[in-house]
Amino acid sequence: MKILVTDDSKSVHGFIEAMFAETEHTLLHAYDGQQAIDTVAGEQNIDVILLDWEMPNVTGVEALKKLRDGGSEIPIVMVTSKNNVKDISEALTFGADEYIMKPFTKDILFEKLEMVLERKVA
Amino acid sequence: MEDLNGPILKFFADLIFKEIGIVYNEMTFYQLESRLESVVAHFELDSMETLHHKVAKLRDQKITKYILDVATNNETSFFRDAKVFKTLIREVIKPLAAEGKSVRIWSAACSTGQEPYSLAMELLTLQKKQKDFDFSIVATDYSQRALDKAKSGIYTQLEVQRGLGSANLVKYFNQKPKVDDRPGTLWEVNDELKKHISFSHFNLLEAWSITGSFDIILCRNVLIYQSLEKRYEILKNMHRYLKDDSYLVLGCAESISNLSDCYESTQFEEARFFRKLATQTKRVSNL
Ligand SMILES: C[S@@+](CC[C@H](N)C(=O)[O-])C[C@H]1O[C@@H](n2cnc3c(N)ncnc32)[C@H](O)[C@@H]1O
Ligand SMILES: [Mg+2]
Repeated sequence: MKILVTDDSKSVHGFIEAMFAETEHTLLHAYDGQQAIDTVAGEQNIDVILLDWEMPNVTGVEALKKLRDGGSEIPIVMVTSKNNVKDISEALTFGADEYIMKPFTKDILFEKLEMVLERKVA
Repeated sequence: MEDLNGPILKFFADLIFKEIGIVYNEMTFYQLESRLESVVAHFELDSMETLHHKVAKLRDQKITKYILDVATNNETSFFRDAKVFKTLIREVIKPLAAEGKSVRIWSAACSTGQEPYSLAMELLTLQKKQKDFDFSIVATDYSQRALDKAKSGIYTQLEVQRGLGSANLVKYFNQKPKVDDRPGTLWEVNDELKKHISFSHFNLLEAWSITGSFDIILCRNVLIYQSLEKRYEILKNMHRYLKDDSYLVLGCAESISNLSDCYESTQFEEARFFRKLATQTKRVSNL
């Protein structure tokens, strides 16, 4: 599986990388919304995008909107410390498939990934 | 090295087995020991010996109840083994709903409530599509601590992310205002879900006071902690509470032991349930 991790915090990248250490999956890294959009434009076969909300330049939810407006159907999981019911609803409305509130555990991340990938197959 | 608490642990293990059927043996005594230590701390006692004295000699009911409660393992999550829920809806509940039947379900070891609430979410979704469909869920457990939480319907941010999709979270939960420095907030199940579930205390090994019969009984991840004899006893009792041809749902690693004359294992695409076979009398009349 090819997963694009988007977060402006280096430590989050490290944290997620550690969760995937024992797996065969490939991680791609982006540090703001624009980099995520560029990566999607330049890379084939990304299976899922993890998207932080608060980032410089282009925020996660802006990137989400742009990706969906551009017709991308890649499953997107928001991974953010914004944990308000309003924020979650907003992200879902703009086309996020799942939403993870920080802090999260490996179990939560893996279960959410399974959820979005399974829905895609179904 | 000989464990100084050996005989005390054996005493409590026997008590727990007798009352609620949960097996602790030499392999799991260390777990029992740490649980008992939490009881000692909870009641501010000075030692394990004092705890033993209070229960064995003074027959302190409050402490005994508490010990039995902490002896239970309440691990659970929303939509645990999601395929089980999908299959239940598709293969069992939808056909009943299509016949215009209402559905009565028993979650027989509901722990902190995630299992019955998950079911209720699926059933409400079905009800939205089919207005005349109705359902009720009876949810029971031995652990009072687990039940209190189940009834409150309040879960932490971590708990509402285990197995629960975000769409269901915003649809069926209300966010509680932030009260302390802990990350995140608490979430409470909404009344629409709560009103379909009645929670009550129930020991699977005591006289069965449940009334009526069920279209589905879930008894998941509780028999694994029981001895073979107790499993047999519980499954045999459940049989009486199932309507003919209805289903018993066990945990993924659990089976019907040697009760193949009561239940028939039925393998669906993504899950396996146990169909109640008609009772003996019926079979005799078929001769
Ligand atoms: C691991 S939980 C399972 C929860 C849920 N069914 C699931 O599969 O996620 C096991 C539950 O069984 C309950 N239990 C154990 N012995 C019991 C007994 N004799 N009568 C009723 N409940 C019992 C425990 O209190 C605990 O909440
Ligand atoms: Mg950020």
